[in-house]
Amino acid sequence: MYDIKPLEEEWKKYKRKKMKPWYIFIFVSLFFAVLVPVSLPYYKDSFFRSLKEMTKTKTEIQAQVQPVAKNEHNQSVVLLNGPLTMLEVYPPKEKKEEASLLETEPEAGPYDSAQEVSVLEEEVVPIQAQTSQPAPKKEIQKQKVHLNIIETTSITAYQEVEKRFYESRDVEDALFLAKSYFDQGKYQKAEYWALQTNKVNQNIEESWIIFVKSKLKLGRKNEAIRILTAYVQRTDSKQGKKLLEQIKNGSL
Amino acid sequence: MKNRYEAAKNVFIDSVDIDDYIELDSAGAAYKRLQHSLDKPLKMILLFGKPGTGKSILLNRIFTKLKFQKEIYYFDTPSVTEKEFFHKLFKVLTTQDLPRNTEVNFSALVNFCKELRGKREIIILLDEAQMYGPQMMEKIRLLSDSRSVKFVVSLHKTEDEDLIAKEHFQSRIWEVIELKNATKEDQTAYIHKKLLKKNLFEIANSIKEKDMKLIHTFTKGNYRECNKLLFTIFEICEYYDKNEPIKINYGQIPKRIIEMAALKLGYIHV
Repeated sequence: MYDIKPLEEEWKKYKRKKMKPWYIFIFVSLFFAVLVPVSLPYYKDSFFRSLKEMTKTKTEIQAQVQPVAKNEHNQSVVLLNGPLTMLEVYPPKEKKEEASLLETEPEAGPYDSAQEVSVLEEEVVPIQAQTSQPAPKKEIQKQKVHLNIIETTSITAYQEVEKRFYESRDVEDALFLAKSYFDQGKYQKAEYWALQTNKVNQNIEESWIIFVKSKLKLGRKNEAIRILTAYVQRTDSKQGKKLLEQIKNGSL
Repeated sequence: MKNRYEAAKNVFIDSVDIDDYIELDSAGAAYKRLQHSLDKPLKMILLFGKPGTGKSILLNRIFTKLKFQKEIYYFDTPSVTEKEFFHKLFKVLTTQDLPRNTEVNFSALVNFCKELRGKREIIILLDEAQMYGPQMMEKIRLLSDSRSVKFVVSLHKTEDEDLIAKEHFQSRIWEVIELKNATKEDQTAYIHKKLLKKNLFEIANSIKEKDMKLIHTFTKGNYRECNKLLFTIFEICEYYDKNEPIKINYGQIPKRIIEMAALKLGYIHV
């Protein structure tokens, strides 16, 4: 074999030719990977600018929302903060306080009471039937919602978050809805969304607290005590214990 | 000591030597079918297939196996002229050389063959029969009509040769045995068996499943092409083993070397 060197060169050329589409693909991917973070601050600024404009014309928006009931008027205030809380990860002050209150306790272990969960699931079967939807890419969906919220009304913004959850199963979305509905006094919805949160992640104490509190508000005290007792037994949560004591004392 | 790759390389020198014959399921089936056909009262048998599908080695094998049981003759190289062919045939039929400056009278030869009917049963294996012209093929058919001479005609399967087959054989015969390119599994078995036959276990193990797939892609399962590719692969390995051992992995034939061999043989291009 005397022609090995030319053959090696020929093979290198062949390999380069074969790899060409891959190089192009990598280059294009890198290009977009660089372009997106660079252009993102611009879009972010324009988003805040339009948000400010929106706040300025708040009175006009309120005029539009006049036909809606008082309860829903409250929603619009929360909702303007709501999606931002999720997307920008800057929760409103009162939410932050509540979160820090819960976070003072160490995170509980996995809550594996299958019996309890199954009981809870049975209760919401009719609602749950609406939830089965395919889950496409999370990031793309979030971005869409981000822009839509500015343009749409507060009610549709909530719907957007709900829709987004059904698609992405993002636990933060469900928890946000649970907290928001609870704050608005919509305890049935708060209970449902707390349950959805627990289904995705059983270890979020905040959602369990909202779940139990919602039950309590809906007048299902015994059920609330039973669920909270099971939760405390499983996780030894101080926050849970405190709440259980308050419920039993009737101080809540 | 002989370089291990040199030994492997030599395994794949293309030949129709019966010692190099590898028993494969597909080849075994074709052999049995041909043997069975020879026992039937057929005048002509057509062995059909693309170059490198194992026709010659099959004829060689059947000749080797039956030469002590039957009156069988193997014409491995086609005669350039009609005269040369009938000289050979005359010798086969009469067991005598044709006297100098004489020619075979075809009518007389046919009559002679007719007289042999019931006395002798002669089998003539004609390899590379696509080299014979249409006139010659017609004469071969007339000789086979005597029923004392049975021809096994091996043909390449190309468009032109298909025509020959259609014009001269289809209406008159026969048994047609078609040999096809090997499947990936058959080709893998072929390569492994060839190497193991020469006790090259390590080399056989160094050709992995994905390499076999690549080799099959390049050669399309053709035995002759497979021999050529493997020969070139081991030739490159031999060079590296002697001169640049750092470039070779003894546990596995590098894909690079297979592709280099394919480039050299023109299966792939820059």
